[in-house]
Amino acid sequence: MSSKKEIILKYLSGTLTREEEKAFLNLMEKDGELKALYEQITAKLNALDLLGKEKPVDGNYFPNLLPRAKQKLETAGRSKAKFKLSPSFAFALFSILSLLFFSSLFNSSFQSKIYVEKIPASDGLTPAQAEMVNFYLENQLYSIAPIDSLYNREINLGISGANSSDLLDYYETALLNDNDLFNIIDDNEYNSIYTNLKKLKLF
Amino acid sequence: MQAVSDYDLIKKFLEGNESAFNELLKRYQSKIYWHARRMLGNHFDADEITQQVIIVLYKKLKTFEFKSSFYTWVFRITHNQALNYIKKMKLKSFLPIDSDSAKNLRTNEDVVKNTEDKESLERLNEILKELPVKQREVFLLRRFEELSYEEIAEITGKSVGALKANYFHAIKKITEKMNVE
Repeated sequence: MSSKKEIILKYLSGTLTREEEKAFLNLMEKDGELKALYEQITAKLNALDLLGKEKPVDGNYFPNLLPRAKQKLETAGRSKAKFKLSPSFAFALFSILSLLFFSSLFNSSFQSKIYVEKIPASDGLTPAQAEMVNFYLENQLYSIAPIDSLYNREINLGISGANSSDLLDYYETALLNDNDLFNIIDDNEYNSIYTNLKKLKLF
Repeated sequence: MQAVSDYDLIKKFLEGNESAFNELLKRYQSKIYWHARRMLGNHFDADEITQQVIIVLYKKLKTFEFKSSFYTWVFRITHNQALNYIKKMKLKSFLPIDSDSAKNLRTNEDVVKNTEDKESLERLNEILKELPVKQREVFLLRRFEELSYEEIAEITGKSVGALKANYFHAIKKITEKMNVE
């Protein structure tokens, strides 16, 4: 872009200061080439304005706009209403969801229980650690014990540490779920897992 | 006889007078449509936006604070609707969900019947479609709505400096496209 064109565009976009504007207008009076380019640019922009000027449209279009928009609004309202839950349906849905939630909570507590109980709580623990594990066991606080959140990750680490690589592979490829894993691994492996958990200072 | 002001019509509508809204719309529907049409480049999309703007106006008019002019408020809604629509269109262009029938509607259906007028609009669209949305918007609001930078800033939420820069780049690209050297 030439410097002349650039200064014209800056003038047209209002990016020149007042002083610069004055200087530009003075210059244009003296510089015929600058003036011709300015006129060419403004003529092109004016031609563009003509291209985009409002055109006559189908006579029914604007009078029908509001009724169409209102219809659209009503249709949207109706389809919203369709998805409105009736109180009895909402109650039934809530009951089912609650049931599912509590059953999943029970399962998780149950799994934690198996896991905690199978760990020989008194074996190799410091008195404080043993006390903590016993506290969870006695009070059946499986849900708040730091077991559930650690369960999947640490069991993997435990098996890795015990070199049960086949089991780990099965587990990782989802051929085994957590329960299967518990059923398969024997007490020695539990001990290994537990040792690894201890190494990780989880107990 | 002096025409009823926009503010009076809004007040009447808020008092329950539905015909006041019709009157208000008569004043602005053409401006909304033509701004949307220049932004989107075809009737089909402009019609969608215009209807959407009418719905928003109808639902949100009670939230209008009589601080700004109704004119800039209408354009702010149109601006937001157009930008959202363009975003959706961009997303659709990446996904195979834009059916052929919708594409046909976009190109075939038009309320401008005169061939010469249609060609003018197509030519304008050819030039403007090269511009990024922000540049196109400020160019249209300045050239066609003859709004000041301050008014455009109120509509778009951008600073006057940024708008001037956008306008500068818009006319630079346009003049390049129109072979002005």
